[in-house]
Amino acid sequence: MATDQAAIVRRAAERRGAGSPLALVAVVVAAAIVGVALRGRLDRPALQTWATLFVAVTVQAVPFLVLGVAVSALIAAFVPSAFFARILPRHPALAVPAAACAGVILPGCECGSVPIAGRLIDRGVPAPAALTFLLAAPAVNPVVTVATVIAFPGRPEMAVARVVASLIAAIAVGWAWTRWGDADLAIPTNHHEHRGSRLDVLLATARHDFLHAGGFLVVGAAAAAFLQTAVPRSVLDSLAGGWLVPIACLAVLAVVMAVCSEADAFVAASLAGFPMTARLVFLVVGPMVDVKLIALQAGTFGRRFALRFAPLTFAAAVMSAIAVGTWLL
Amino acid sequence: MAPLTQDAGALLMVMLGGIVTRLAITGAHRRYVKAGLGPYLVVAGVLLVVAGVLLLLRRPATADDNDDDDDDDHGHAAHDDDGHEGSPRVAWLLLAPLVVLVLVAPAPLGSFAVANRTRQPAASAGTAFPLLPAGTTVEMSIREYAERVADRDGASMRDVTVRLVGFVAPGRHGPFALARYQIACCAGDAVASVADVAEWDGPVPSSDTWLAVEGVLEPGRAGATLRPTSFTVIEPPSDPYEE
Repeated sequence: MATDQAAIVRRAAERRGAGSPLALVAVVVAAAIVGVALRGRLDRPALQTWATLFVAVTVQAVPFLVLGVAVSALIAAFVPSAFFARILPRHPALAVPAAACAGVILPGCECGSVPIAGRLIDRGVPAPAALTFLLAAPAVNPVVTVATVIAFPGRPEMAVARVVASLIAAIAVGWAWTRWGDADLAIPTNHHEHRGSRLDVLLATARHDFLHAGGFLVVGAAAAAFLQTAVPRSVLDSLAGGWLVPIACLAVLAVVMAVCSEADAFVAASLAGFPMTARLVFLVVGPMVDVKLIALQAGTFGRRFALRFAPLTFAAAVMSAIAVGTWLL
Repeated sequence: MAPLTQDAGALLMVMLGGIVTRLAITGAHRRYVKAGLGPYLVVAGVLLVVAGVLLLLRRPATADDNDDDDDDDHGHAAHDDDGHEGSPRVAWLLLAPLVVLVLVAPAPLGSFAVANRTRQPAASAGTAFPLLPAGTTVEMSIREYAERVADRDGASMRDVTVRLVGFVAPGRHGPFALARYQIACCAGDAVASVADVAEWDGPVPSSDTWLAVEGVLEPGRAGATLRPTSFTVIEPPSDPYEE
């Protein structure tokens, strides 16, 4: 009885609370008032350029994001929970490449694959295999591959190199984790799933994935727009010469910019002055290690895990991309 | 910021889906992304609206709610932060593009960004353009113009009048230039093509004014420029970017 009342009180509070629909509308109205007050002062060219780029990167990612979220929600609703554990080979050495290949089939961007990997470990998939899936899925899935082909017209070898280098890096990390990884480290710190009818699961998963990934996408778009507006082309171009400097520069840029893997090919295409191998490094590192992913992984698996996993992955991604880039591009 | 409640998350999906759909239906998406992305934006927007409305309607029936209540009882802050029940804190940021789109409705990329972007073509790509028939007026994209200039200093259009449409941008050699962007997918990958204008009588038009200019090529020491024979100020085209 008491809990019922508590629930009623809380629900009433929720309707007026800081995260409620009312608060959401209030923020929009407040922004509208501020916006009208500032109108005329906002047309500084630099600010306008930032706003245009910010909206452009966000809007172009929406169809990709919705597709990824829809497929991920359909899987959550319709693929039986033990399915992945059942079809994976028992032996970790074989399960790792198998998981990498599973990543090829499943579309989704990196934000979606972190919770999926957590769910897989929860269901008895060996940690190295789940982590390999986590790394491979956002980098090599069909949506990302098609986006890469579109972003580099006439250079389909870029998409091929991206798939190959990402698979190599993901499998290398999986095997390294099998050999040296701490089995207790990769345990989801908190985990539960949506319950109810299939439609409820579908909708709840879609909402979670869209809002989560979308929020991080906004961070990436804002940062990318800022970099493109604030950093003069000449500075970036001055780092584009030589061999090691552009590779190091774009590897760091991939971590800092944190562009969604479904959109990063277009960013890489815009870095026209850079050598192809450096741009490949950007495409291989980005979906595997970036600031938003490190935050997501620390949230899902714990900070100790993220501290070990991120540097290992970064090294594997950079080396694999350099090797494949030198060979294919 | 408190995490969004489930209803607020669903409402946000409806609002975002609505604005994306409107953007594509009015054609305003062409300011930011490739025109061909329009139908995909409509599909994505409608899906978001439908999912959001269903979530709002079905909310009382979901088992999630009870689950959520149990967890929230004693303030599992870290738990909420990760947003397992659909509305993580980071979702607040989705309001940013919504607000910018509705309030600012940013203009297409203009003259300010020309200096900051890669130029087309970086160098002559080795294409040799065939000679255009002498004495004719030829309308071409600024990209093609720039490529022809890069090819043997514009030898292929020596005896023709060219017609270009673009916006006014700072010139490298000459009073100003006409510029236009090419995009592969969105404005984030825009590459600028520039046609420098020479010998302009009268006041230089202000930056970002759209002009249709007819002129002839004038070889110069610093590179070929366009000597205008006539020009008209035009409305910004609905398709501001070239393919």
